[in-house]
Amino acid sequence: MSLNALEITDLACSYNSQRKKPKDALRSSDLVLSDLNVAIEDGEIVCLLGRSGCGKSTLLKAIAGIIQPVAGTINIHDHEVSSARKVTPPEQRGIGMIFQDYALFPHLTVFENIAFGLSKSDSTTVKHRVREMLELVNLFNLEKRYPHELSGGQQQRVAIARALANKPSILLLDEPFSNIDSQVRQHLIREIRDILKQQKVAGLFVTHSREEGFAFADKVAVMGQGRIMQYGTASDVYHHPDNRFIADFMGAGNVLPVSIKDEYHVETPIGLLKSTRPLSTNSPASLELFVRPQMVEIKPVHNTDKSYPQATVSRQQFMGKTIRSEIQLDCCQGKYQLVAEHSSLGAEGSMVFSEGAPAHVNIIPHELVLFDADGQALTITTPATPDGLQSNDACAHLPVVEPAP
Amino acid sequence: MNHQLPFYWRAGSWLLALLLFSPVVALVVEALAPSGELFDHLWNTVLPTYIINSILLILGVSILGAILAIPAAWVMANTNLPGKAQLQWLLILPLAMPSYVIAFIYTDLLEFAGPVQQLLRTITGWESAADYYFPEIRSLGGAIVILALVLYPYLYLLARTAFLEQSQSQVLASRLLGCSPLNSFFRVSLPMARPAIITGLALMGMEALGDFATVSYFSVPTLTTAVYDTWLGYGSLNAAAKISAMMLLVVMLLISTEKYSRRRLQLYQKNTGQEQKEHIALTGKTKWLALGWCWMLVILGFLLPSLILVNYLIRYFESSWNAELFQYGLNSLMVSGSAAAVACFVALFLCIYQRLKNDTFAKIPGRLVSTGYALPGNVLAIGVLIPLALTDNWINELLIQWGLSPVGLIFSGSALTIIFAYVVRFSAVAVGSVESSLGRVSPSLDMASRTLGCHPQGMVKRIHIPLIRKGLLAGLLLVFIESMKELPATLLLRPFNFETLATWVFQYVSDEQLEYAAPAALVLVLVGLVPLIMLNRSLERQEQS
Repeated sequence: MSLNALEITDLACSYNSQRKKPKDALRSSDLVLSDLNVAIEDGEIVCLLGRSGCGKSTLLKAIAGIIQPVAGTINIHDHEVSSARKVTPPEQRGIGMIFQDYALFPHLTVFENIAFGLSKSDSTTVKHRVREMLELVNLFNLEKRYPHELSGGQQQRVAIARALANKPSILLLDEPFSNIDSQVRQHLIREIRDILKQQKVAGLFVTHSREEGFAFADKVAVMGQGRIMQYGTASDVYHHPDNRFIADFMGAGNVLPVSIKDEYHVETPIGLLKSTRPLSTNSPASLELFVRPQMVEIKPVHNTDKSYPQATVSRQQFMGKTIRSEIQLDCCQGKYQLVAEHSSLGAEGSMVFSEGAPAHVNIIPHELVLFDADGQALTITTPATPDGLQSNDACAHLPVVEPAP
Repeated sequence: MNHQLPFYWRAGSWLLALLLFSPVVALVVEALAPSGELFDHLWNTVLPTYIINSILLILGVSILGAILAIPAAWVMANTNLPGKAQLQWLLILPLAMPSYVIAFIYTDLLEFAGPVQQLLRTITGWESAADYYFPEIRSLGGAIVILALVLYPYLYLLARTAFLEQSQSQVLASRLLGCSPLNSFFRVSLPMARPAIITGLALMGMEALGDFATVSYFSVPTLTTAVYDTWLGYGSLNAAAKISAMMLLVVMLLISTEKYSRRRLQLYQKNTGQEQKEHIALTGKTKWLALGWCWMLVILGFLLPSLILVNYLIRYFESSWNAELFQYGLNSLMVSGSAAAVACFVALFLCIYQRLKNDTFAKIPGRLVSTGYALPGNVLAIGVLIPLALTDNWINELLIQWGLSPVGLIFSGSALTIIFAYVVRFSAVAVGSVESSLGRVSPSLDMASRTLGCHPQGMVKRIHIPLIRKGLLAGLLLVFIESMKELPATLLLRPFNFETLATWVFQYVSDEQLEYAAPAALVLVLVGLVPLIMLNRSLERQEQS
């Protein structure tokens, strides 16, 4: 098993940690982080995804060593750096950090900024290392410039070079792309990800933007209310969210009331729907089905195929790659609306609906996401008849839901 | 962005600037006149010593002031020292102490017959001055200590603001790159605060160069006392102007160094505004050291002298509480208040012109007005007298020509002269304050307001003035304090029988009888305190928002 670059165990932090005794702080209600666990392997990039105020910056401060936890530990390469008893100062942690405002030193040139942390080595080594770094981030001719003479993207590259020059065990990135032009953002994300991979540096990336998180990270940890709510690959978190909060945070979706018919089928307002993974049959009677817009198909009414429910297209938007349609279901006194999104290619004429046009609606069979009344994802119990089901790959990805606190 | 300003604004800016610059021109013209016998004689005898004394005074006050102010400023900006909420404004208070009052009090305490040396002799059994060494307070060193004690708040205020405005991420970045807290201070925080520190040092240096009262009381001959003596003693305007021109050269050198270093560091602090600053928790020895340092400044610079003044007040109350006190107090308030108001109006007028025109040419009026601050008070007094006397003569001649009776000295013989001199001298403080807060107003706000339909004057009224209110207020208060405490120019320019509190107190200090002017000295201190407290409140509000 490879060594963890960063391991956080049962971490709890409070705003007033410096004034109170640890025991009091633990009991008090102003905990910003509680029972937080994360492990990042060497060379792995993890994204902490959460809305503002969920404790992301507090976690970074705790990892950097400027606030002391009230409980739990932080280990860097199996070396304990933070606990309620002892905190290693930031300069002895071997951490690199990239800031939202880049935090370049305005009184130093690009060269001096990158060389800042190398001051203990001799000057030829420093020069060599700085050149190496400049080459790595493609900024070779700018070494004599001052930070205010650079563009945002260039400043960000200098910040990366400065942080990596010291060969840190882990790089913390605090909303690094939020001040970057959206046109260059995706490009910069790819470039910096490549640099981290090439240098084999583990990264912990904090953002509120899921697009950045998906594009930059190997794994995603969704944060909410001071704890990690779900941890896994981007696709896992996207397709199998543990609760409604995560499902919504990962992107828009449609919600329909359903009841389970059998192991592979649910009954919906628009008819029977097939799941490609087995469902638990002893679950509550009323459930909510969460469907991503791209799983909803609409077709113009040409033939009179009675198995498709009737619906009305209330609005269509051309988004470029996709077409987004808002659909009003005719059944159930028009209580339900769906949003469908599908490729704008290949079906040009047939996909264009005028406002109020009738349409057939179909939900493509997939691994269905079901929530109970509390918004928790449906627990899948091991089926009584194992053969035939064990072979289903979907089982390996089943989310494990922790009991609600 | 270039905005079209009405004609009166453009012309007014230049007129104001030239009016306030005229004393400097008068001085230079006078200084360039062929030198008389007196100046040659001084040059060959005592002047070199005076020059050296002045330079040593500036260097000493700057170095000691930096040692006193910078650690205090950093501690107040970055740590959670107990009592910080009180300390951070207590540290500004010495600014309200007139240097000659403090000089008198410490002389009284530390001279041979004073309580400190008496106590020393009682304890040790020494009998005469020959038995032991005790530093002489009435010396250049003494003057440096006294001036640094009352001038350090300039640097403290500027440096504290600079430290507070530094983004925490820069300090954290340096820590993560291997700096210890102390290392990080010297490699990141201090260099980033350099423009503010140099500005503070320049202010202190110019105050030290221009100090008249302390060095005069301590009998340390400097260029300032030389100007005073050549004018009042020998009546030579020419020699006085020449000596002051020399001082001007030194000051110009200082200012251009400051401007040069600042140009390279035209930086914009990118405070995201959302970040929460983690204050450093001081513990053990460092905590006590920091506490001791800050309280030492407050006690020596303010609390101890104030207590002694209060003691004087109680002991000599009956002989010192009289009608003169109220008359002179009113005089002081009137001239200082008017000067502060006028100076701020001038500053606002010129800075707005400078921003809206936005070219090098438009910067000239502001620079011209600011030169007055470089002039030591008594030098300025002479510079002011020249054009005003000329005007008075011209008016009287005109009246006689028209067959009317002459009105006498309208300008040079009235309190207006003093107000004019204060405005010439202290507009720079207001301009600096307004200019820096205008600089913090993003240029895109100008564009936004113009595109939303504001004409230039509307933009100034609705955008600039509300946003720079704090800078304007700070400027107003600083000019007011400076004017209340102004002594050398007032001594030379006041009309017959017109006393301000400052001249009155100085008279008593010179006569070694401060006890009898204790109420006036205390009023001077208290009046200086009120704006300081208000200034601090507005700074605190600014920090919270």
